[in-house]
Amino acid sequence: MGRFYTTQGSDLYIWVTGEDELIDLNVFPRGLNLFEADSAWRSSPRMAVSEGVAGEALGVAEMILRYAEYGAVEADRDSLEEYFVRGDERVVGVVVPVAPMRKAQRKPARVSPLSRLREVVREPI
Amino acid sequence: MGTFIGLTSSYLALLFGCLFFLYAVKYYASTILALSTLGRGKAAEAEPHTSPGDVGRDEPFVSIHLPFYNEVNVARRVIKACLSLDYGNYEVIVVDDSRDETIGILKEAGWRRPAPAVKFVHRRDRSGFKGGALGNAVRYMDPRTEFVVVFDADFIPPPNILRRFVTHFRERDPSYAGSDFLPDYDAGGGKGKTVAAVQGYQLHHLNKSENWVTRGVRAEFSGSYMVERVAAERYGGLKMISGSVFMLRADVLRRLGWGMSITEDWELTLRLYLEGYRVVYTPLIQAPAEIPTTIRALAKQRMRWAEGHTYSVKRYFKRVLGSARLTAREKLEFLYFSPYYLQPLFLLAGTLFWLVAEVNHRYPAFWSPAFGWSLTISNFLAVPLMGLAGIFLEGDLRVDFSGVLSFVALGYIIAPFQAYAALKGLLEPEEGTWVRTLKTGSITDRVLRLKLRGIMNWVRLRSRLPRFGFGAFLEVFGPFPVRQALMAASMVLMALPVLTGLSSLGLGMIGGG
Repeated sequence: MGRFYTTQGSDLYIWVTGEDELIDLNVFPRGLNLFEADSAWRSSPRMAVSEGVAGEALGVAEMILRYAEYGAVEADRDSLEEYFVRGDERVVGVVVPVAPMRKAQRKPARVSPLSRLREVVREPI
Repeated sequence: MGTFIGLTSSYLALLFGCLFFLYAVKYYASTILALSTLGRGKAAEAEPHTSPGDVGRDEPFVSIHLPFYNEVNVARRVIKACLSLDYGNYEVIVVDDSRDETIGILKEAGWRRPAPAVKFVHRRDRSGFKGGALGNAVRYMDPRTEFVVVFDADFIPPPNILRRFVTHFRERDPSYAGSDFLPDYDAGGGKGKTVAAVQGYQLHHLNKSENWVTRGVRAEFSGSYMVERVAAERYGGLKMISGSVFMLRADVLRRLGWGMSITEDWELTLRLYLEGYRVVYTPLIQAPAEIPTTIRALAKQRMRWAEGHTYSVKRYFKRVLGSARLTAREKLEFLYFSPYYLQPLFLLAGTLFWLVAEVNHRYPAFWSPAFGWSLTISNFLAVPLMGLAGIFLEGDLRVDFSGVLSFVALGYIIAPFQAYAALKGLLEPEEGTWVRTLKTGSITDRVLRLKLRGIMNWVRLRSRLPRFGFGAFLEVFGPFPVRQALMAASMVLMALPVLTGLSSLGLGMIGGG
């Protein structure tokens, strides 16, 4: 189980694994223009992607996500895109609880050899 | 002056009248063919039977694509219907270009479920219009996808629709040859070709009783889907993909992709045939939909169809006619489709010029009033008769009879708009823009399974359903032989102008000699 987000350039990937449910997209204020008519975005049961997010909006979105116990991780775009398309956790290959993130950093709970995901906690939660 | 106007009008009337008569002959022949093909009660469609344990077994993965553009009135309805299908192995992808409250519906957390998964893909622009949006759906569909099904937002797919599509593919496609494959009636030499798509019946029915426009359009669709397409399937003509309620092979779609035409369905049809594939049609697979409710909405929709259709004809004309991958019948059908949206203009112009000629009493030597009248009457009744036959084959002729009158009126009202758009598509270097058809979400009529259950003796499927024979026919329509009357009327009306024309020609030559 885990709740994560990743930024790739100006694109924001929000994603979950295991039994976790994806954040309600309505929690993001309209002014951020993340999941609105004038932005390009996608969502699946496991992932939401907002493309071309303005820098300031990205900062606010990250604050909201951290408040909702989402952890920032680095992941390559191909793996994330594949996860969006297939919804198969084996693509990202890692299940990291958000709360004990520091602990997980020392000793990852489970990492698949197929994983191309690098866990980097940017800020302590 | 009167002589000049009268003679010119009579020649123009003859030209336009004969041009439309070519279409009329096809409509009458299609009516006879469809009436003789459907509803004889030899066999019934096979309802794919499943037990709970069957769900998910032997089911190829299907990706349902729903293109949205400001669909706030119908979005929730179609997504819910797509999530309630009797099929275990599929996903739903909503490709959305909306600028209205539809966005709020798409963001609802209730759509998040593991299976079937629903994906939403929203664009900030509308590049490529519906074709562009559907291209995005192909990009994000599950790699396991074997078939793609498309529904417009105003449709309500019934629970068994995927199962029916898959069954139909297996039975019609040689590449699925096995115990299920049955030879079809495609007599045009196309039956060896791989089936790339199965087009189902767009049952424009949900709001048919809303007003005279919806009644008229409903009659038109009945003629098109129960008569014209059934006949084309029978004689092996080129069949169109019609924007909604069709299943496509995913491998073919991945390779070809969607075009950017404002009639992306027609463009894809032509590209499929150019690649050596074929499209099959069945009225057995149906999804109900709503009908444009105003003349303005209808005119806008038809103008888009006319412009995009004609533009694609212009673009692919030489390639289609020069291709060795299309059969002669498919090419002939393409030629018939080419000026398709100009035919109401032929009828309108022919009728008007004929009236002018009648007023001036000036005719060519070979002309006779009998020929003029018979040509006019035959042309005038061809499409309404096809609509009547379509409604009859659907099973509620007594209820929907008045729709045919509305249909005739609509044909004349829409004709100039359609003709203008068709000429625009022919002459303009670029296509125009997509004009959306507003969906209201209104439902006035309960959707019935109609008589379609018992009409298909031409698709010889395994039947577990009771047969619909003459007894059922009598039960619905009484002793009056509607079918025979419609067939006889078609034959007479088709033959009349030919006989009177030949007679006039003979008299004219005798008179001229």
